[in-house]
Amino acid sequence: MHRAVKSLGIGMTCALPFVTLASSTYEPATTGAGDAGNGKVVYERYCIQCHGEQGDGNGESAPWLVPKPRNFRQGMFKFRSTPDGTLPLVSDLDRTITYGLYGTSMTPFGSIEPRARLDVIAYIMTFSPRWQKEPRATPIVIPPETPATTESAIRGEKIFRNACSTCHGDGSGNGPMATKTIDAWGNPIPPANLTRGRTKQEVTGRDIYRTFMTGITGSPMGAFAGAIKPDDAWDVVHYVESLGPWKESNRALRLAAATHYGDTAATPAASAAPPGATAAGGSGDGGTAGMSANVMKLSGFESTDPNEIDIHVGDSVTFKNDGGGAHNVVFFADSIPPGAKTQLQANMRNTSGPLIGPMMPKEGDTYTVSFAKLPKGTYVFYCLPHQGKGEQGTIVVQ
Amino acid sequence: MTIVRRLTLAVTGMVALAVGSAPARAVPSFARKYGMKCTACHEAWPVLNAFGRAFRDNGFRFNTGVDDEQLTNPAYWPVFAWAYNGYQWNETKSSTHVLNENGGVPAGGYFLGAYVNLGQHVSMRLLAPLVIGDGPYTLAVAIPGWIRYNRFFGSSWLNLRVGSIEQDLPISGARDLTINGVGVTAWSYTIPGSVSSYSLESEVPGFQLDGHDRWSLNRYSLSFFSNAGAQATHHDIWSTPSVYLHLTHTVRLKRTFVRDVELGLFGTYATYFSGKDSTALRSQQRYGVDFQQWLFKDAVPLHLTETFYQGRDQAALIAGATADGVFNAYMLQADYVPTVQLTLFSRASFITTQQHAVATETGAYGNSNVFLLGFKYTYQVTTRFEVAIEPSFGLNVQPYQAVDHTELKTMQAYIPIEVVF
Repeated sequence: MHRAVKSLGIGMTCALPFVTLASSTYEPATTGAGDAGNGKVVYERYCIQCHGEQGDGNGESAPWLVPKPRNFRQGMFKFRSTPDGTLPLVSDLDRTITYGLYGTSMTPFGSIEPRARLDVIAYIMTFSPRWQKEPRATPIVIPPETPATTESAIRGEKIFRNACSTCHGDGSGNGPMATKTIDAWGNPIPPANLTRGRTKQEVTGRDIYRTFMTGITGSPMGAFAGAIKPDDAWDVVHYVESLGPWKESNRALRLAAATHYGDTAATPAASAAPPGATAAGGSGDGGTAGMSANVMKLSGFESTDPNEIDIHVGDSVTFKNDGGGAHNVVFFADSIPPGAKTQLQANMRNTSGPLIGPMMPKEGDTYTVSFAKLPKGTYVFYCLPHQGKGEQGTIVVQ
Repeated sequence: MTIVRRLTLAVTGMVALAVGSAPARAVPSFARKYGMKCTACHEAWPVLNAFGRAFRDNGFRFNTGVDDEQLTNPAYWPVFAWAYNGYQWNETKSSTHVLNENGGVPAGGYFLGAYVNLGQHVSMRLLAPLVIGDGPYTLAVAIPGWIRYNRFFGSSWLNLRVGSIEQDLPISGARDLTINGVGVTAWSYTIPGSVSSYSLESEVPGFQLDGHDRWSLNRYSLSFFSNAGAQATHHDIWSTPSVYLHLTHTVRLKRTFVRDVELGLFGTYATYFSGKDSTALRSQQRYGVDFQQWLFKDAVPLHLTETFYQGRDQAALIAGATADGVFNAYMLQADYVPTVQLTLFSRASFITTQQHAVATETGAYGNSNVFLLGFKYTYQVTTRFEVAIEPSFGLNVQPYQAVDHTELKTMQAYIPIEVVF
């Protein structure tokens, strides 16, 4: 008996560091938030009017607001320091609450006492089960800024033309898609005008870098992390800063805007991959590795190539960026067989919303969806950035 | 005219003063403009919370980049209406006699106003109080207003307001939780016999420079005004030049039940005629400190405000004076907001004479102890149309003020209903 107790004690002692280690490595997504009970009152005082009693974004003022207030019940947040598809950090939400979203009705609430902001964040987290199920995401690393030179801005312009101009046009938000973009909730979401010197949450170069790399969930603004080298991303940041009176814009960047951009005007959009872009395909599958035999190409035209494809249950379909800017795949919830939504959502990896696939930012990127365990029928999808062009396709599962 | 009638008039006058100095208790048009509830900016309207103070300091803008575009919101009209009326009971008695007792429904107040932003830099207020009198029907309309240029040189530290100026006080007389006649006695107290009725809480003509940091944690307000107002006989609004300054600093505490603490310093140097014209100006000075604490919860706090100041009127302003009149005023106010809709409030003000101006005045002459207790419940008809009931009881004890130099007590119960739209 004594020996058994001793063995148990030794065993528990040995196991303790591992248990401790395991528990210390897991941090819930709610780490750092305040008291939800207190936060409910804060919410009722400041937030309920727009975001609604149920946190569904249907408050009394919502009908008049563009863009629409966030629906907290979906657990989708646009502005994060974390990778696309993950939950934001408490500090991300606090940043949005403190400074607001410039150009929208989300006002800066920085005059509210900081603990009250953490409390209301805790309450907001009660609206979606994602906060309880998912761990705290790791924010992307923002490397030191490269020199903000004229040359950097010129290099950034080339990448911008390839990856961003479909929506942002010449930077003023006048791309061919500008009037047609909608977000994952079906609301109009015009591209940001980058010539004004600030956008919703971006003021500094680091802000621009963060949004460029993490994307804006639920909007056509995809995440470029993994698809572009950090130095190239800083080039894009410098190009953006050269477009207007950004806080950290400088003389060299303005010189680039004044004298050099015309030289590269002949560069055809999407004719080449961004300089230095990696072979990895961002949030998609990357390259051609693992590509299925059923390939549908997206190039920004009215239909995919081919427009329709027949497959069998269990097959996979690979969607490929065939030029024309960034693409992704979004299935119409009402144009798939009844009962297929949950399984299809489960089969889609790295989604940024309901039935919304990740961005494939550059030509050659791929994204594969398995049709295992799905009912037979017709599945219609479209490309979020090119929805205004009518880019869609059909998959018939036999 | 009997003393009872005089006292009745005095009480009525106090009510009128309180009403007349309440230019904007809540501005529902802002709620419509920004799609927010009244309670976003008001701890309990009309008292502003930190968020509301920052909004006001910014020239009634949030600086969201779409403050002007909000004008296109179909729900937005820049006008608002405010009305109140209620039952009032008054009693005044000395230690030996009941001098006055009456009750009834006095004339209410009806206001129509507009706060307007013109572009990024200009804000203005227009207000039309409709005063409906008793007896022979009378209707008077006056429009006290101001215009403010926000952010000179792009700096939040430099804003200029011109027009009818409200002094920046720790407890705003214009935004008191109750509209009864007791008011903020500490601000409106005047030294007995002084020819000037200077009151800190009255709006005065002049201009005001003010500024603040991003979240209004550090603020200043500097006013230059005419104490006597615009005097037609002098053809000069600057006949009685005066200045007022208020500095505040707010500290946010991270780990205690005290959330925010604000410390303020204020002072005024006002002038008034000692003779028939402005060639003989004498001074009135008020210097003090204020200390505010917000306890427990930001959204539903216990809010304590303490102020102390000393007032001095030069002898030449006081009839029969042989020395300057000096008094001390101490005020403690506690507002507790257990729910967003309900506010309990209480206030105690103690005014004591430190130096009698007239040799024959002795002891507690001029002293006044004022107590106020009440609650306010707000019913939200819609989020931009609210009704409030705010019963309150006020007691003013003046130890030496009765005819026989005994204690004079003035009590008032008031049960008004307010509507803002």
